[in-house]
Amino acid sequence: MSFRHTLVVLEKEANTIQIIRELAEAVNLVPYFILGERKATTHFAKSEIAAIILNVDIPLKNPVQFVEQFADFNTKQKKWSIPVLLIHTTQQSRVLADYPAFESAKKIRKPLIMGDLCSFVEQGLEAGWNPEVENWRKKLEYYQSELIELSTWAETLNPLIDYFEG
Amino acid sequence: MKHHRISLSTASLELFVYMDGALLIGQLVNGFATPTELKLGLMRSGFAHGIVEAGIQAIGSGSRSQHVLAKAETVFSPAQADYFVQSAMTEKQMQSVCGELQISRLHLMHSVEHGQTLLKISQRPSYQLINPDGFIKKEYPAKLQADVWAAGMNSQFNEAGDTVSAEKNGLAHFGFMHETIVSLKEKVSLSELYDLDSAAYGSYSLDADIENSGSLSIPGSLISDSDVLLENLVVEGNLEVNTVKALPMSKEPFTVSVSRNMVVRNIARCDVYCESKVAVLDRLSDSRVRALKCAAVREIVNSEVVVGRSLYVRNVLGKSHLKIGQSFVTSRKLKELCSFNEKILQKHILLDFEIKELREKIETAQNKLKMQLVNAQKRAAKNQRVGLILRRLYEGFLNYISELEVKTRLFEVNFDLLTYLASLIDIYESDFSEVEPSEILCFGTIEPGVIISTENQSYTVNRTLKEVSIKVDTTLGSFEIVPLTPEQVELEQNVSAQEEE
Repeated sequence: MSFRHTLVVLEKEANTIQIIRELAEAVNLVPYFILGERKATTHFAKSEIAAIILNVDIPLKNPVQFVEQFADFNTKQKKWSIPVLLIHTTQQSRVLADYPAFESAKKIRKPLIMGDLCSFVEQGLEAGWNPEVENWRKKLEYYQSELIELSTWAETLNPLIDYFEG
Repeated sequence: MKHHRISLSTASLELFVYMDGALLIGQLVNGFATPTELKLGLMRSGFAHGIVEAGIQAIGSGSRSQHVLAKAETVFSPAQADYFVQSAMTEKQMQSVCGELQISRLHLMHSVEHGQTLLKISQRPSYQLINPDGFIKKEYPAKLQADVWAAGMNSQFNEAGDTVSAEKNGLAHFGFMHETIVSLKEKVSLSELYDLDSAAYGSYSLDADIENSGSLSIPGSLISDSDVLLENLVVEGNLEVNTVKALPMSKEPFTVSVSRNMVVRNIARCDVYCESKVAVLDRLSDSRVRALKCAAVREIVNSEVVVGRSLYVRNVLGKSHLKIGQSFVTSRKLKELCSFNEKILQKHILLDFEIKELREKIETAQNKLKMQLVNAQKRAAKNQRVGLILRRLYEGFLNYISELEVKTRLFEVNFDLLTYLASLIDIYESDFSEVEPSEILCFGTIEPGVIISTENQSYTVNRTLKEVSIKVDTTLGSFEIVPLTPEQVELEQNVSAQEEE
C-alpha cells in the first residue's frame, strides 16, 4: 500500500515556486522544496512521492543520481517510476542532451504556466482528487498497513535471531 | 482539459478545466475585473462551488498569470430528522409575543415520558465531493455521531440507529448541536442553586427571587416565576424567568449569558448574550440584547438589540438601536469549537511529523539489522558475539515498532476527533447559513430617532413607522421598508388570540 502525496521540487526562482505552491495546495499535494544538491535528504519514503520537478539550470553533480534518491529507473522501459518534470530556461540545456535517463521526462521551458503544470501533476495523482479528509484517512491507512508489515517482518525474524544467539 | 472563455463587463476570462472537472484555472485575457465581478462571472457560467479566494484576489488585483479559481470541495450533508417534540419557539410562537393581546406564557421545554419518541432520522449524514460546476463526483456516508449529534443526555437511539427516545421522564429540549436533551426537573432552594455541581446538568425550578451582588452559574436550565437581580449570570441551558434586571445600587448592567434560549417577561439594565433565541414578553428597557438567531420583543425602550436573523417587535421607543445581520453576532461556542479544532489539527500535523521521523529511524535500524543478518548468514555458524549484536539491534527495532504503534494509534484517535469536530462545525455553521435575508417585522410602531443598522447601512427613522417589514435589498444595498401584508398582520393576530386561549 502506498500513499503518494509529496511533490519533490528542486527550484530557486520565486515565481515558479509560487506557481508550484499554489497548485500543490489546490490539489492537496505537499510540496517539498530543495534548494540544491546538498540539501537533498530523504524525509519521506519513495512510496510517498507523487512526482518530481527539477530545474535543470541548477547545477547538479549527477542529476540521475539525484533523482534516484526519490524514484526508481526502469532500464528496460527507460522510464522513471513516477512522473519527472524538467524545467529549464534554454532549449539547449546540457543536462537534457547528456542524460538519456531523462528522455521520457516531460520538459517545459520557462516561464512555467499553471496549465502546463496541471497536466503534469494530473499524472502524479494516483486516484484522482483527494479531498483533505480523504488525505488524512489515506495517510492513516498507510501508516497502519506499514505498521502491520513491519511487525510481521519482526516476528519472522525472531527465530533467526534465536538461532544465531545459540 | 476543457477550455471556455467568458465575458465579464470589462474583461474576458479564459477558463481551463483540468483533472476531470475537479480543478478550474483562470486567466484574464483583456481588461480588468474586480473579485466580485469574477465571482459573479464564474457563478453565471455555472462554477459556483469550491471558489479559491486567493486566486480570485490575485486576478482581481491585476495579475495576468493563470491562477486556480476553483477546486472540487467536500460538502457535509448533515442528517435530517423528523422531530416529535416541538422545537423551542417556532416563528409563529415568536411572533405571538408581539400580538395585540399579551401572552401569559411561552414554554421552552416540553414534558416527556420514559420511552417517548423524540425524533426519527429521515436521512443519514454524508459527504459529497462536488466539482466546481456542481457535479457530484463522489458521495460517501459519514459516521452518524449518534451519541452526540441527536441523542444527548437521557435520550438514546434504538438498535436500528434511526429513532431517539427519552430514557427518563423529564423536560425535553434541544442542545447546542440539535441533540435531544431530557433534563430532570428538580425543585431547589436558593442556597442549593448556589451549590450545584457543575457537572449536574438539569432543569432547576425555584420559587424565590434571586437578589445578590455576585455571580451565579447554572449547569442547565433555570425555570422560575421569580425575578433575578445579580451582577453576572451564566446559564448552560434555557432560561425562563419573570424579570432580569440590574441591582438597584449597581452602576454596571447585569450581564446574562445563556447557551440556549431565553424567555422572560421583562429585562431592565442588562447586557444579555444568547446563543439562540430570545423572547421578551413585555418590555426591554435600557439594555443591550444579542441573540444569535432571532429575538421577539413586545416593547423596546432605549435599548440596543442585535440579532443574526430576525427581529419581531411590537413597539420601538426612545433612543433604541436595532442591528440585524450575521456579521454583528459571533457564536462563542462556535469560536471555541473552531479554536479547539485548530489545536487538534496542529497536534495532528506535529504527530505526523514525529511519525515521519520515527519511520526514518526504523528504516535505518531495519537496514542495519538486515546487514548484520546477511553477514551472520555468510559465516553460517553460531557466534555468541554476532548473536549479541543481532539481539541488541533486534530489540532496538522492536522498541521503535512499539513506539510507532502508539503514535499510529494516537494518529487514529486524533483523526477521528478531527472528523467529528469538522462535522460539528458543519452542523453548527449550516444552522446559520440560511439564505433568507435578515429582517425586522414590526407589528406596532417604530418611533422617530430609532437607528436601524445592517452590515453596510445605517438608517435613522425620521417619521413614525407603523406595521412594517424592514429588510435590506441585497442588489441595491438600500433599506426596503414595506407595509406588512394583510396575511402577516392577520397571522400574528390569530396566533396571539390562539396563544391566549
